[in-house]
Amino acid sequence: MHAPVRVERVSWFGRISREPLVHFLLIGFLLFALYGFVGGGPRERTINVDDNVAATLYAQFSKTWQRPPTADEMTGLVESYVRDEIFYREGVTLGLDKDDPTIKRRVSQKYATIAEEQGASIPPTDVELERWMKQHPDRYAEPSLVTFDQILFGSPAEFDAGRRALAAGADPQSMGEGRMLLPHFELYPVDIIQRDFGPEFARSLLSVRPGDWQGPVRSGYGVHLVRVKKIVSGRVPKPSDVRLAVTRDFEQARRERSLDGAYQQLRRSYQIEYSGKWRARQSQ
Amino acid sequence: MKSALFGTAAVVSAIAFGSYQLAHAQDAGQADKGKLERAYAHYYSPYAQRDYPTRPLFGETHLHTMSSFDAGAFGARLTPRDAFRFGMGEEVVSSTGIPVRLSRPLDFVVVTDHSDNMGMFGDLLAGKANILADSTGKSWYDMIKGGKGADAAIEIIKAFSAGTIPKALVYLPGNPGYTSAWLDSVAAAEEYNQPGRFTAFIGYEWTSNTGGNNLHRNVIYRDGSDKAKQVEPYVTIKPVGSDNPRDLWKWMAAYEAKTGGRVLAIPHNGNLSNGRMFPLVDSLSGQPVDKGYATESARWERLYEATQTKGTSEAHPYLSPNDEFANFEIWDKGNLTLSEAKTKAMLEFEYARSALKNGLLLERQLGVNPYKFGMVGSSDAHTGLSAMEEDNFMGKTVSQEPSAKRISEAFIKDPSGRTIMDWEVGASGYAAVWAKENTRASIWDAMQRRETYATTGSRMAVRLFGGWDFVDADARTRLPAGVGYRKGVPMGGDLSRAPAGKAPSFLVAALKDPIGANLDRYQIVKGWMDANGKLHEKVYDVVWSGNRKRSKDGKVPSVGNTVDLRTATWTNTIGTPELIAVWRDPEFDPKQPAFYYGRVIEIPTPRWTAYDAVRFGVKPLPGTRMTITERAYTSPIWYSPS
Repeated sequence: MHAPVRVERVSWFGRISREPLVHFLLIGFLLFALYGFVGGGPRERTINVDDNVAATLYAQFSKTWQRPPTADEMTGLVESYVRDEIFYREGVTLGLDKDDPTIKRRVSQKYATIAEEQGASIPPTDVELERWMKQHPDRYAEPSLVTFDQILFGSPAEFDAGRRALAAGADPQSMGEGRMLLPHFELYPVDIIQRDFGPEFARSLLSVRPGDWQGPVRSGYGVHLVRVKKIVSGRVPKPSDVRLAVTRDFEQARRERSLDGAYQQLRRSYQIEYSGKWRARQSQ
Repeated sequence: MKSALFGTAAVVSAIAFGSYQLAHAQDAGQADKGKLERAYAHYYSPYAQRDYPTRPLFGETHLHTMSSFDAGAFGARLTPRDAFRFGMGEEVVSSTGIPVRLSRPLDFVVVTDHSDNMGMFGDLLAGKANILADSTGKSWYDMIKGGKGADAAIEIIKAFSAGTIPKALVYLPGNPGYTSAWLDSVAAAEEYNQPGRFTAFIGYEWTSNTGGNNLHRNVIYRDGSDKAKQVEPYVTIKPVGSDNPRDLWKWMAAYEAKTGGRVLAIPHNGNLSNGRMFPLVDSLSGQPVDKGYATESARWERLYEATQTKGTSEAHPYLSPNDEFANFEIWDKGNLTLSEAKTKAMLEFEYARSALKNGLLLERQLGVNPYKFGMVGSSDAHTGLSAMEEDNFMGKTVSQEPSAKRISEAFIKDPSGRTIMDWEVGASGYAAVWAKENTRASIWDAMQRRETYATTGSRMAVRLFGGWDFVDADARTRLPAGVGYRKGVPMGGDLSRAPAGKAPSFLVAALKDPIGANLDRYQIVKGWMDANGKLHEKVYDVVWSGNRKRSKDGKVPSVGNTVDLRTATWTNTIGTPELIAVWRDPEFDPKQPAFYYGRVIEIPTPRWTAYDAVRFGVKPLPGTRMTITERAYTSPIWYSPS
């Protein structure tokens, strides 16, 4: 019973396998399959909802709600994913991604990100960080510290009167106008002095000879008598104290350098042709 | 190996700067040397010298970068890192290519990108085609393609308000693009946070905007990335998020429960909520504000952003007709998108002063005051640049970065014809915080206790202390703040149980911005409720510059005006650098609950429009405001009878 059937099949297969039309269709099918396999793209009709996709959807939900989605909710999330994916692929098939300025910009941004990260695979060495720090001393410098007293006067005349009174032995605490400004500052950083009194005052203060009352020193509030007791000059901190900031800035600068370098190099390999009337208008 | 190298480097640098070291050692002497080293070892902390804050810290609690979908669409290209660098005082290049730097650094910055669609803009640029299947999406697409990105941005904001953003563009927690945008925002704050020197907070904006009615809140973390990373920010888009503040408060509670961290929320732009920001009747449920709402609101929302680029919401001239300073940078044409016109009945539920008053009423009804908030200002800039000085104003959006055009173009237009012009956008404001140290914990704690004030961009130092025993001599001491803390409570605090026969007294003080304009006057705004439940307010001129006498109506006459619009300059020949006084409430009734907050007014100075007119040689449109009186609003001090 089995044998005749097999014989009959072989002969049927043998007969059609010799048909040219079948060859044609077969080749067509193979080409189609090959195209789909190699090119993927518009003709790809399979949407894989695998564990990776599911995990992403699952995380999306549970990160917000701090509970896992129910089965119904999960079905909804998957359905919405599939719908997005289908529309996206159909849109690409229609060429809706071509000559789109927003897509151009996005692809350019992606390229820029890759260009930025060139050379970023190796963490900076201590020597590189140290060199960077030396090249940008101001950025990491610990500011000068000043210990000083100050008395604010509303006008030059009051200032003169105040100075005379002080020379005659008046109590500095009893003089002057400003109440909100502290009369005494202990090891106060000069960058904060700048913010509290204005840049002019901070500059002047550093050039005052330590010791006795001096002035006038001008600020955004008026004129001051000041008595500088001590100036501790600013210094460069220990690299270990600012390592985080130095690394951060170094990396930022490296990204900018890489990007700029990549652009300059590519730019040289392109020829830009300017034409049209706009140039004349531009120079007007 | 690395640490050895670094150690060597340290020695080398120590030798290189040996001259400084030597000078310092000789100067300081051996005994002091140890003290100095200790000071440097933990980095200096100038605020730690007293047991109370001695200088206000100025910062930004509301700033967007390109991670915000609307900022990105407007053309913002600055990242959270750029925003922090700029706040620290570094020069950066703006999205339109302008090099820009602050006159002086800020002490702290919170980058608050919109949680909804965080990171979406990048993927919009990636051009997912399914947006084109949607008619709204198609029209944006055409606009962007036609080179009208800024118009598209406004459209996107409107669609977001209307809840009609195409589904494909909705970015939710867990979405890889969303997650990476959030983690990047957190990482940027971690990189730039330098305790003692500059504080970079983690934060985001929850942007409830249904129907174009602004119920936005900024969420600010006390925590670092270890906690903040555990939970992704709350969104408004359903079903993952909600546009109801009650749900945000639940999310905040859940975050704290899960991580042991702390968060607070700061609402803003009540002026664009069309009567919904500080309701007596909850707009979302249609029910009167209940005890649950009041309790949670009071718990999570301890501050209100009373001034920013989109107008100032302290007081409205309609609500406060006797306050000649109430008409300040007012936006009252409609809601955020101008889709709905403003009616006078809405105003009461939009402005800080009327909300503080209604809070007293609700406290009597519910036992809890939901609107017991302090004040901050911030920018809401969508440029990554917190540049809010009149002469250094980088605009609210990238399309408003300095150009000859920004003085005369429209910012928001509605088909009805309602329009807000670019010139109406304000260069405002900053948040001032009385914190002892420049750290996340110290500043956040000060926010939580409401020891803050709002400024419209100026950096004046403002004090307000309330107590029962302040005497005039307290205003003449060398350390008024010392007396203030000893004898009273600072701004944001509470007074209760009036001693028999006593009225509350206030020690008030203000010091001008060291590089800014002189001060005109310090006022106290009092609000109270009488025995019949009727609410009242009154503005008192407490101390002012010069020899001006009160007129018959009790008001102090104008300080004058030195602004020269031809050159955009002014002089400090009027006003005074400092105002300080003790004031007692002359109409105090111990049975009536009340609040008192300070308002400090500067002399008139050129508005940003005046600088633009001079710098670009352009003519402003008729009606453009060209001068401004910058100001500060302190958090209130509340008096409650029981």
